[in-house]
Amino acid sequence: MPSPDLTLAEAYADPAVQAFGKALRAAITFEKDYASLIDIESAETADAFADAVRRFLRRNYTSATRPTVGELGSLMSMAKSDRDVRTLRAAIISYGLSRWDKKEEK
Amino acid sequence: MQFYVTKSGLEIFDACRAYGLAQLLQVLAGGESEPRIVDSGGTFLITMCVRPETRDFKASNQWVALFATGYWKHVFLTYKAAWKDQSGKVKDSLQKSAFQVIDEAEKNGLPVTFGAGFALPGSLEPVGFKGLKGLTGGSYSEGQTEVDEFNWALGCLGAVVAQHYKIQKAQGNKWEYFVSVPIPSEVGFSNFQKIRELVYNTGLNYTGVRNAAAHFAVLLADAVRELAEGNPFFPVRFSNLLCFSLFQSGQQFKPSRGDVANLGALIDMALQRPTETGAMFDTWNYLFSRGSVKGNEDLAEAITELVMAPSLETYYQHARIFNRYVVDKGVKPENLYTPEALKEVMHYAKS
Repeated sequence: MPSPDLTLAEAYADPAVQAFGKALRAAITFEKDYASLIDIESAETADAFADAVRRFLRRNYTSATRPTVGELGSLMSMAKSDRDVRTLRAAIISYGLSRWDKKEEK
Repeated sequence: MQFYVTKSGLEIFDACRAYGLAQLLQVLAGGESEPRIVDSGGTFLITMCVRPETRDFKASNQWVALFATGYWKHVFLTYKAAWKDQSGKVKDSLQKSAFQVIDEAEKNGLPVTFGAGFALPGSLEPVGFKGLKGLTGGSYSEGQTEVDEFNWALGCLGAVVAQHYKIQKAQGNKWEYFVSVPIPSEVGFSNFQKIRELVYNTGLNYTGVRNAAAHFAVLLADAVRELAEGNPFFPVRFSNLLCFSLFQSGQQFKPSRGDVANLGALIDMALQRPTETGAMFDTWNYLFSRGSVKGNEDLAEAITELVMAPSLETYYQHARIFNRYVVDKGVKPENLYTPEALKEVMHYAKS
């Protein structure tokens, strides 16, 4: 039986997506890491998504907001199909649209 | 008391007839009772607690005010300077036969007789325009759609009451009209009038009719939320928002594209979770407002698509473009989504 598709709200609420979303938001705001944003936005398949995440982690390996290995594993386990990837990338970039405390995050 | 408006199949015209009859009943009842419009499938049902009595129309301030409004000019746009004669005809017709109309609505549901001599104004219902409306049957021209006098007069009155016109300059020093009308599902007429006061005179510079309709849908749902004051059973529900545009071709106006927005989903959210949805509407209003500025059309298009056709794809486009503005051009923190509002947007995108 095929597994049901991941929904946007489920993906957004997931702790691993939250960790990546907040880390991307901080990387863009404080480090001007626009390349990672473009990489994640343009990922259409599970492989491309894994590549984009890998590059993002390499660019931000010293960052205090860097997600953990466990969170990385959890995120990758959710990216099973192309539709899941589209849902995950939408959920990750959504963290940039909500209000947050820049001082606290820094 | 129950009155019926049998649907003819012309959706905008049918909704305008229902609004028109509700308005006429309210005037005749002298404000003592509130008409309520309910969509019951093949008919619009209009209920009143009291039986309307004979009234002197000249003594009714509401009636006088209705015919003093400049909205008639928009309804009879294609008549140019003769719009005053047409509004006068509507007034005379309804004053002369108001009780005949009401009796007919009570007994037979005012079925529309097509081809009965009264031309449907094109700015009321695009089907009213000349031109082919179906398969050609040997003839390549078709005249204006004509209906009977009672339904024509009620439709025109309803258009003045319920249609929203946004007029803006188009290319080549010409004008274009964006017309929208909310289709009632269950509407208390007094509440509808309050909503009308709140939102019908607002508007921005839009990129097209879809953009105008999407913003109007958000404004309507927000007004319902505001008036409901937390009551999830507030008796104002619209099913859809129908819209179409008219453009100037030479000296004449012609119909252009039309569309439908699902207003029901927005209103349900606004009534069930008013605080979160209110915060969502605040951000959406900001997006429409910023998108109305030259150079920001991508923002306007993205939020329009999300409102008109909610899906993961339209949500993603909106998130991607909004994120660009946050990163590149700057957005004040108060214009970003609250975490609760963002969850509502995701909920809407799923609907």
